[in-house]
Amino acid sequence: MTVVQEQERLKAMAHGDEPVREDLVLGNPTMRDVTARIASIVESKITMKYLATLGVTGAMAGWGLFALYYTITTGIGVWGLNNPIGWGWDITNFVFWIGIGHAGTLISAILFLFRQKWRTAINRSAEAMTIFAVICALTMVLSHTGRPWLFYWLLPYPNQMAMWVNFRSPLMWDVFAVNTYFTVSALFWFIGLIPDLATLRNYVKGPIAQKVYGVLSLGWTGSTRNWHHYEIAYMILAGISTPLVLSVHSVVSFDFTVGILPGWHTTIFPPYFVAGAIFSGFAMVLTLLVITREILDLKQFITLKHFENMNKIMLATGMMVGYAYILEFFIAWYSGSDWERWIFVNRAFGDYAWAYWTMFTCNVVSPQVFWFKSARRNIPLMFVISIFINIGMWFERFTIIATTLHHDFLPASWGYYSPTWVEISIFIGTFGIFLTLFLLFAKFVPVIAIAEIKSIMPGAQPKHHHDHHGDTH
Amino acid sequence: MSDRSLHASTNPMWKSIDELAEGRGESAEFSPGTTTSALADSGVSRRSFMALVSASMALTAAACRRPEQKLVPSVKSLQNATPGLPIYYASVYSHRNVAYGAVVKTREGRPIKVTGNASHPGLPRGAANAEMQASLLSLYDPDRIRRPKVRGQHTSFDAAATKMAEAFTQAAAENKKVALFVDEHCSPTYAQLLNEFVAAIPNAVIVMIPAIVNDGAAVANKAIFGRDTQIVPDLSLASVIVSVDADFLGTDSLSLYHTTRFSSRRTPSKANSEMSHLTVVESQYSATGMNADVRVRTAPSQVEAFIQELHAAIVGGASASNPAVAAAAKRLKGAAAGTGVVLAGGHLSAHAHGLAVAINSALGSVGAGKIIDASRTLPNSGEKGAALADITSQMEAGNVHAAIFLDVNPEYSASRALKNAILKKVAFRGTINLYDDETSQIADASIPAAHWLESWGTAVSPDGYLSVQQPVIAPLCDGVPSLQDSLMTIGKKVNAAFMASTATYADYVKGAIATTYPASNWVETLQTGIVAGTGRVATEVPANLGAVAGLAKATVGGSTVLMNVPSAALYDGRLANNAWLQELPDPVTKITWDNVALMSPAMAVKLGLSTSAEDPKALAKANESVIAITTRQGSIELPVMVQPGMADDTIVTQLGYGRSACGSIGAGVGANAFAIGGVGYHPVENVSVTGARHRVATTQNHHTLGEVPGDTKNERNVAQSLKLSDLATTTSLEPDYIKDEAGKPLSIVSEYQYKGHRWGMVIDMSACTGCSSCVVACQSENNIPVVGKDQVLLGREMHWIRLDRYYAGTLQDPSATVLEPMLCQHCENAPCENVCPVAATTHSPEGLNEMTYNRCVGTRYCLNNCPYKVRRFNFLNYKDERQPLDLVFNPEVSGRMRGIMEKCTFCVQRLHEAKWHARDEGRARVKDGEAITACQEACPAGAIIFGDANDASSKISIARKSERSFHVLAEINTRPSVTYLAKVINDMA
Repeated sequence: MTVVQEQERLKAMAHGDEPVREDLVLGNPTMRDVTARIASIVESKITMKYLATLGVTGAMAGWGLFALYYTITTGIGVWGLNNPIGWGWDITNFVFWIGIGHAGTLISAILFLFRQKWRTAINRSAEAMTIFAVICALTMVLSHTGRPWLFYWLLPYPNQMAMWVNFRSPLMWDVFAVNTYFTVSALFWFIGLIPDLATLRNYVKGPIAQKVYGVLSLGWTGSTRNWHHYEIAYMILAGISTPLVLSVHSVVSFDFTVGILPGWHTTIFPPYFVAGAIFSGFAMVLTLLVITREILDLKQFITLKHFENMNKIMLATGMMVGYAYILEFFIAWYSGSDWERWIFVNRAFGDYAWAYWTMFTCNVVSPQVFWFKSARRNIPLMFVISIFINIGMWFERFTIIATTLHHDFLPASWGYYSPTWVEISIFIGTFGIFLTLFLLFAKFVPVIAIAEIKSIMPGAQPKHHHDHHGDTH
Repeated sequence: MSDRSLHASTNPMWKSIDELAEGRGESAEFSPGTTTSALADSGVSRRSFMALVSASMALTAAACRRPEQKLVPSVKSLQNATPGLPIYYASVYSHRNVAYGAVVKTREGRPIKVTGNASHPGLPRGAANAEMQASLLSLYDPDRIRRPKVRGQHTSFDAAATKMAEAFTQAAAENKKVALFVDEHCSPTYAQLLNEFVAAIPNAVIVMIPAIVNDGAAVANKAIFGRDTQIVPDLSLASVIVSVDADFLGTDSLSLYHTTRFSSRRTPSKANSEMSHLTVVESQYSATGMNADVRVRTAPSQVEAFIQELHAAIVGGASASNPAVAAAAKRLKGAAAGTGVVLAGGHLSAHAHGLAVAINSALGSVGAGKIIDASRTLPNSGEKGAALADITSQMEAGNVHAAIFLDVNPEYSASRALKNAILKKVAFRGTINLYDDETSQIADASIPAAHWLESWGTAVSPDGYLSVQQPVIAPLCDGVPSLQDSLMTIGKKVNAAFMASTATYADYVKGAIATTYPASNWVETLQTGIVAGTGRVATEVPANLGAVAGLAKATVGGSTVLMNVPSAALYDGRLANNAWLQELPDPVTKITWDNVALMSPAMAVKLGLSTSAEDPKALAKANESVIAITTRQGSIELPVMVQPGMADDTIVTQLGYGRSACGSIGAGVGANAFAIGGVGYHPVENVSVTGARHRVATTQNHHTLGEVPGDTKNERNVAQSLKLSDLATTTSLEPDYIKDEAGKPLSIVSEYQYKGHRWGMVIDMSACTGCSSCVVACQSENNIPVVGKDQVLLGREMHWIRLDRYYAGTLQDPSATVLEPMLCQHCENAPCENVCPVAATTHSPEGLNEMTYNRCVGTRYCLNNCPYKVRRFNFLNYKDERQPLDLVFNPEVSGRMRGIMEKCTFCVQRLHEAKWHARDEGRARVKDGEAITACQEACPAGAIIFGDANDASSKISIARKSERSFHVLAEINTRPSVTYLAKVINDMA
């Protein structure tokens, strides 16, 4: 049966009376087929197309790194920041990238614990994306300081000066939150990779590749004992990761909420930031998967069902951020604080109104199409919407930072901020880093968890009637 | 006792540097490079530091020696000079012809700060104006002319002097004259020297040629009092002042003198509600206008009419049809006899000045000891125009062989006719001045002059006090003599009998004072800064008011009028190469690094630059459009800035910019408005919009008035003001919800107890006139870098103190302007402190918000979280690396590299110094007034009070109890250590 026939069959079923879950793996492949299909991506020859794409993303990364080098050797003055506005694209990008990472953690940890089987096809790439996004975030946060070569002063290490960090500062909390996040995400991803790396070790032909995958698979034999330990470790890491989904972006939001400035000093930020992070993370996962699925021809593993689920999550989290945007205005009015009221009016109608309405349109209006099932299953449409959401979520962070800083309390100190080519280059550079890493990942690491996906294939589970109902639990 | 006992006492005594003049101290006192630390501010990383250290150890091992440097050897040191401790010298600064007593602080032989001399009568504390303090930077200016030149080629001093001397001989042979052009000055010794010069060399003619020529007052006074001079009013006696286009608090050369006296009567309290009333009639929006209780926006053509009508109302008893005149007349007549005064702007006609004298006379304010006392005059302030016209015609007639310019720059500032005559009708031109300026560039010979801190001189103040200007450093440019010394050398070459027995100008000054004031003691004179026994004796000068009618009137014609005013920071542009002054924001417009064409909103609409005279956004578009202004004299292009409160059909621009040759800092900044006329009104022949745009760097948004819909600045009430009539009923200006029943600030934790000192500041916005002395004082004290126009455009100026300006009322005619000096508030609950991840900014046990530069990694979180936005980030390395500019730095304040935050420290180095004194004297606490900040010291208005809030009897503790006191943004509970006293607007009818 072809994939198309399969989908049509499912569509027909969906309109039938019998409530049926869609299969998560289409085409009814055998276990061996799955391994061969996914491992062949790694084993296949590197194409010119791939190299050209890598060249483009590498050039983007290189250009960004050059801009960073220029910044570090010359000073933050090469950016557009000024006296009222101490943060601009640097922290906007930091929060943006941290947010992107959240989908990975949510998919790998929370959906795992909730036994959401459909996560299996996308968790590997989502987790990889998390790690790469956090690398980009770390790049931004490390380079945004005036003297980045002193970054280690932010770590509480014993030193001869008896200087200790300031634990009252939200930036300090950031250091812990982001480092924990990066470490746990990387571990979680790597642990999950071990059985697949072992598969590759056995599958690949080149001696060097065999060696590399052999070392990385840590002596995996596939024994029951291996599997037993593996699953416990995976479960524990999922448990550790779960609170991080909530805590990391809450801590990031504290950078603003602990501030005294109107527009920042607000209690709604932690939940609103978490929802926004998941929102933006799923959008980014979707953007990348639509492309990956097409290029690597993974349509049988990454199905419309996956996309539809993700679109539902985006609709839900998009509604949450929309609610937060509107509630902020209510709270500003209800607080009775003139400063708060004014800053929100200024946010929507002041110098940065264009940024605010870009954000609002992209984040609140555009996901509304996902109320319709046809839209949720329309790949070109969801691709466009996911890009809108990426843009909108970037503008959300920019709006929060710029509108509050440019006009705060004393009108005499007000200013305006626009970025220079250096900041724009660095942002492009972080995309370059992100995409380069993702391309390398897609080529050298199984993009889909081979071992896991086998567990959700039709026939992998005990079942009662039809052989294509994968999941009845 | 510690070595701190050697520290200069709290009442510093001025040390004589007679020895220095005799050459003994020269090499020992100034030792270049001894205090510049290569490591402190060069951004050396730990790694390269280690490399340097190991390299130097390797060098030591190889028995190499560093190049020898001359340190101050203690056996030969000057009396009492201790390395590490400052020495203060009394001197005097001549702001053209106004003498301001000065004190120069030196460290290891180099001057590092200029303040006012508190021993000088009339200047409280160390009050000083911006130019006087900034002139220190010019001392170290690398662009100063260093070697004499003849026809563009470097030569020896002697060769250049000989060249100039030959001009005299040649002129004598041709039976022609040599014109010696000098600036307005206030030195009786210099005047005497020039007289002797002319006596010895009869073909020399002295012509006084200041850049800013205001003759009206002198002409009027000559007719009325028989004295060809400007009279200096004493505003400390005035209770009702009507200023008719007189910017006496702003661009007037006497503004420091006036501010001190004016502000003393502007700080009423509930207990003593006495306050002077100021009416300002003007077409520009001046610094004086900002301080007005009533401001009458008047077209230039109506300004003289106002004074005429006022004269008719007060002297003639007529009833005025103009309600503004009637109100002013009523207030003046209501004032007690001898307390009302009308001031006419310097550029107004002799007739207007005559009418002002007549009105003042009718008000009983003219006479010995009164506000207008004809014996309180400005030296050399007589009429200049006639002499200038005369020398021009003589040059044109070919009677002048040579012109020698003594520290004047007519090629930049003179009228076209005179410039032509100098360039084409004179065979030889010589200059003796500080810079290779416009005039030097057309000179056949030029000799560098010494800076005032390098040369001897004298100056007499309007009150008649004679001061000696003593050098505090040997000339930095290889033994350059002072202007007067050069003149003496030239004179001797022309006529050997001239000054035959006097070797140097120093001897001449000393001799002249010994002869004129035999009772004075030279050492004492140098110590106090004032020659004992001098001082004006008020004498009655009879006034002939009948002469007023015969004085020349002026009519201001043209549909559009140009008003040229001196620049607030640069005055006449002489110190245009001074970066501190270039970056000093104009008190009204907040513009730096430029002069502009200021105009009213309606005028912008008329020129088609804005679609609306009401909409700030439309008006903002008019800003920075370049217009070409043409007058009879010439044409220049300037960017437009819309200025609220200006008269319509009027363009105001500032003189002192557009220097084409003055050094790398000032050249090409702005446009030269002297090209379209001198100071005062000029009919405009044509204004055209060029279509070009020129970016103007301001430190504050152009329209701080209704910039954003739904908000005008006074609704925020961050800079409070109140009417005098409301003062009696005022109890508190802070919201009561921020305090508990006991009046203590609300808090859920127990408060920190400050057991020792608790430093705090009170700023009286009613006293502050916006003169901006504090900004330069702070810059000089705290080594604050200049960032340049591009960085100001980006909003990165580094000044630790700024003067926030808030208008109230309409764009067309603001009803009031409130100035709020803003600096680090040293909040008790400082929002910056808790957000710094590396604890680089912390609170001291004495209430200071401290910034540890070395620890700062530059996250800028503190800057973001500061509600007052007073933190300043070093976005780039702003240090000007050119030598010897590093000598200007105060060694008590560390330099800051790029990437770190800085801000006001309450001059913590001064607090430490004061504490050391206290400790040396066995006291546990610093006495009130012992520790003063640089801004407080310089403030002529006494608007800044600093001290220990834990000392119940200190001035600050008392001032804080004022019913006018409030904290900025008190409601956000930052608990600032800076208390403001609301501005009071005198609303008497």
